[in-house]
Amino acid sequence: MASNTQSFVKAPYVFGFHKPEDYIYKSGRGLSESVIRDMSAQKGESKWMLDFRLKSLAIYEKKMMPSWGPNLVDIQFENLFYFIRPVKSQADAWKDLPDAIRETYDKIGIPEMEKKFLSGVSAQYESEVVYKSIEKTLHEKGVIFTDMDTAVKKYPELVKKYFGTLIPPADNKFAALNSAVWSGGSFIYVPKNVSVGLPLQAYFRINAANMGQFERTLIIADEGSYVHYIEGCTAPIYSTDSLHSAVVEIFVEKGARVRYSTVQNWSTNVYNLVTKRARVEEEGIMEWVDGNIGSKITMKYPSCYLVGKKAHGEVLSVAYAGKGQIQDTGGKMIHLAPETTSRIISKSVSGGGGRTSYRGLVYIASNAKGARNNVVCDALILDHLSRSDTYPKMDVRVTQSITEHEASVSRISDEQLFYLTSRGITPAAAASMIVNGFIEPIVKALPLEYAVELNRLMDLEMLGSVG
Amino acid sequence: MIETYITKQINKEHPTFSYVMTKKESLIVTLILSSTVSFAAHFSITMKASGGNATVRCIVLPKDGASISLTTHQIHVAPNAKSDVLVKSVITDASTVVFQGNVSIGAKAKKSDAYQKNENLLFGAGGVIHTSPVLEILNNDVRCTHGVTTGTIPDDVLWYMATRGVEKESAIALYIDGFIRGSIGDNQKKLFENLLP
Repeated sequence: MASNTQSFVKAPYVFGFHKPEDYIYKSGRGLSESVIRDMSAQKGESKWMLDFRLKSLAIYEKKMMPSWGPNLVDIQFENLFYFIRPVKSQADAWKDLPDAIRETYDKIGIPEMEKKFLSGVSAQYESEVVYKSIEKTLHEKGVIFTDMDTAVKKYPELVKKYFGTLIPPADNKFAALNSAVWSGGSFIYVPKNVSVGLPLQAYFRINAANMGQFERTLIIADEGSYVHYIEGCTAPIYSTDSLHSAVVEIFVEKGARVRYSTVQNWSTNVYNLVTKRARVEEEGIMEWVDGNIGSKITMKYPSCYLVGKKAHGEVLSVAYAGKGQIQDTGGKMIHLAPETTSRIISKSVSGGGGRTSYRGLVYIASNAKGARNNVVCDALILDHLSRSDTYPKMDVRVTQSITEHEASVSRISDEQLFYLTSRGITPAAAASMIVNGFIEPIVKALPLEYAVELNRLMDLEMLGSVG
Repeated sequence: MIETYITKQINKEHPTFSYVMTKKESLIVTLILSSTVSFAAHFSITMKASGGNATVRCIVLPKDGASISLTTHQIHVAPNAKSDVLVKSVITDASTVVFQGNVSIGAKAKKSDAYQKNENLLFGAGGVIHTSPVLEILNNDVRCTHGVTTGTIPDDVLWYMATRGVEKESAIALYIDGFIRGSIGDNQKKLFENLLP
């Protein structure tokens, strides 16, 4: 069996195409105060945002790189472009988009999906949202769904109240970097007691070699509201390494519920270093559904600050690490109020010399009486070249609470393979089937077409891994 | 080989227990750490022989606001070895337990069976439990599992005992007794009898 799983053949990267670059504006390589001033002026931002960026830059320069986790020394910060503007202004209609951009979207299937069911598309090409269409119903309900740059101009008071309060620039080096050079991303405001029936989606795409992508997303779900936001990523292959460093802040007000789904499939030269955090008020529910398949190194630990009584947080994550990949993912649950509950389910698969790690924190504060937490990590190692690690931390400071952590590591068992092959299924198809069964609890939390895509990607990654 | 240590026998500030198993044999180690002063203990077991089998039981009982830190290492170098570490701690006042458990499975240690379990009982106001069970696995043909639970005595247990005429204090003592005895066995119970709250 061991020899069967050794021959791990990586399938070609299916989304690995890129279009010739065609930009209105491109900053020079590297980061300096003048790049930020220039960028802010190009965007026509008001002073408070420029000040915020400059303050963040100062923090970024002082901050150390993380002393733990995967090795990040190969990121060449001075070789990155921090701001690229693809088109002059945002297009209002699909046909107004430049041909090259439209073709790119055609390849990832946006117009088709839009026709079918999307409630609104806000697609990002490079650092700017160039195409958006929001259905009238969203307007009628008072829901704001726009790109972050527009939100800063159109709703300054609302943005100012929340922006950078949950993840301040001083949080970590990459949050500081994002705060200094952020561009694009989504802004969502859902008014009181409004439930957004269809998921809101945005597609991100990096198309220039060495282009850092620093989107910034802010979601505010007012009391009793519900929204499901989906972030999907595909990126073309480049020989030089690029950096994706996003910041996502979510405010879940009293009794509201937010679900944030991600299918991350960056090409395997992208460093994906993301800070995601939600603040959950009384009886609010926050759910992170996270699929990480691509990238060279991903470091992502979606967290929930459960600050209101009976708030609930959930992280469902699935990660696949193939040749040369490190998926360092996990979740953080910070229980700061009584009767708060949380759950983390993490499934990881490593093959072809890949490395998956679960890294998590559960903190139960001394006033969080009756808090409950449950963490389950399952890892599947496909061959002898790969590895899997678990680094959980639990800090419990109150007596009336229950926390549970459970992790197990296994491989595809001979019995399972034998059972399936004896019924005429090829070893490769059997292994694929077992892996898809293994990640099923997470996949079923995704909307149908994402679930299908994730299963298909997993099949591609698994191709030739057994037999 | 069976070895038992109780804190009374340990006179160092940073007691270290280090075992290297080079033969196909069984080892049972029982460690009882109870103290009113803070200290940090280290335990490591390295499985260098195929077929080696180690069972480790640790009971941690800090008192009077003490902080006891315990770090364990289960290092599997040779194939076909088995290690099982169970750490149970009881905190009855504003004391602290810091547990860091490490399991490392080397690339050559196939068919390793490593188990690590940490159970914590917390019912003192101001008590803190900090636990970090870490797995690092470089081989795909292994069984490796860990689990952590922290909790208090459930109200329904106390109620059950109260309805049968057991007073709260006795009920708590009974519960702790069962919590620990389950992991150590009757014959060794007298070793730590006077250490229990």
